[in-house]
Amino acid sequence: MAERAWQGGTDGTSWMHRALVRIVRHVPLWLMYGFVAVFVVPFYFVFSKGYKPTYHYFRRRMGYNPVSAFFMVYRNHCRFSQVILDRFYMFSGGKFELDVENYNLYQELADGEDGFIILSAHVGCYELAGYSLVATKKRFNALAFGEEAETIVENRQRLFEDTNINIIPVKDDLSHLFAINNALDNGESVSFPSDRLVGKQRTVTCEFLGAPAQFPMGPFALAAQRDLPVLTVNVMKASPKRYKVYVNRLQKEGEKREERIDSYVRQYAGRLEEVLHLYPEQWFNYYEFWND
Amino acid sequence: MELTEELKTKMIEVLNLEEMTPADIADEAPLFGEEGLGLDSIDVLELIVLLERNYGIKITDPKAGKEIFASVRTMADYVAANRTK
Repeated sequence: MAERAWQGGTDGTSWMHRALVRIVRHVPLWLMYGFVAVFVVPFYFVFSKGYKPTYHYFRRRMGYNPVSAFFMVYRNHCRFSQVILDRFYMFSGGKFELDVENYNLYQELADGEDGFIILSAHVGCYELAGYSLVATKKRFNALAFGEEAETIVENRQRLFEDTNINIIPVKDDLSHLFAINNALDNGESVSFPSDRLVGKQRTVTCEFLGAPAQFPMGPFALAAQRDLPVLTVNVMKASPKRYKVYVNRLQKEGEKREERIDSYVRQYAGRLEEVLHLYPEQWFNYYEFWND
Repeated sequence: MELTEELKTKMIEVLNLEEMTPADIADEAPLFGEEGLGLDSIDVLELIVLLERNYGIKITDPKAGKEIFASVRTMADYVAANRTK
């Protein structure tokens, strides 16, 4: 079982989130970015629990010197706040320019009969995938952890109600497991955040950015068990109004279930390394992710 | 073979509970939590597939799942009432 796990949630109350949705409708994004970078991020920078793990990420995993790592943590916090603002901008009806790499890999599966699995991560802004990865023939289901604020879930449901997108909340009554199973049986896609440990979970250890790290076993075990196509999707912020979506298909390797799980985790970690080398400041797991 | 014993044998196989025998699993023992077998969500996914493949059972109501998988006894009752093969 995992000893390291994400302990946080979505900050803010429902009325704060509603107020933010209204504000981003009327205030230009660049002005919000500037305000947050000057007045909000420095506060979080000093007092948040995320400073140390993020500093360690830049020093140990990305090889920055101490001064550069310090500034990269600031950039990371700024980028995270921008991504949050972008999310609310999207909730308020705003649009971003999206550039999807390997869109055909997604489209081929979306047009097919079988269900498939999408593995995402807490980098960039995966939520924008809902805009870019459209499926007309099947439902796009996304797993969401229950600690998220009600407004976030409400906004998502409202935003996606005219689309084929369905949010499956993770619940203690295990109902999400049956919903996942039924969706895959019906030939739909299900996406899982597959990097972060939430609560006590079985884990798989894999070399990631030069050191062993633990990943949740669940999504990879499901992929190995169901023998369905598996994609990784990472949606990265490329400029203030543009996101780039990286789609990759993972290969089925190994005869035994355990071998297939290990292989999927290795491939997933490899794709994640690639996008993090391109966008090092967009790593948003604010806990000690590595074992060293 | 009685259905509860058959289920225990299949569970041991699919969940890789190699150190256990059917006699080690009480019919009424909870499958989840520290007092029982201590199964987790990955195991539930295996059990869902086990019921589909072996008994042709598809659980369409996600909220019913926790009651069905409460113990081997509840699983056996559900299988007996709903099996198609």
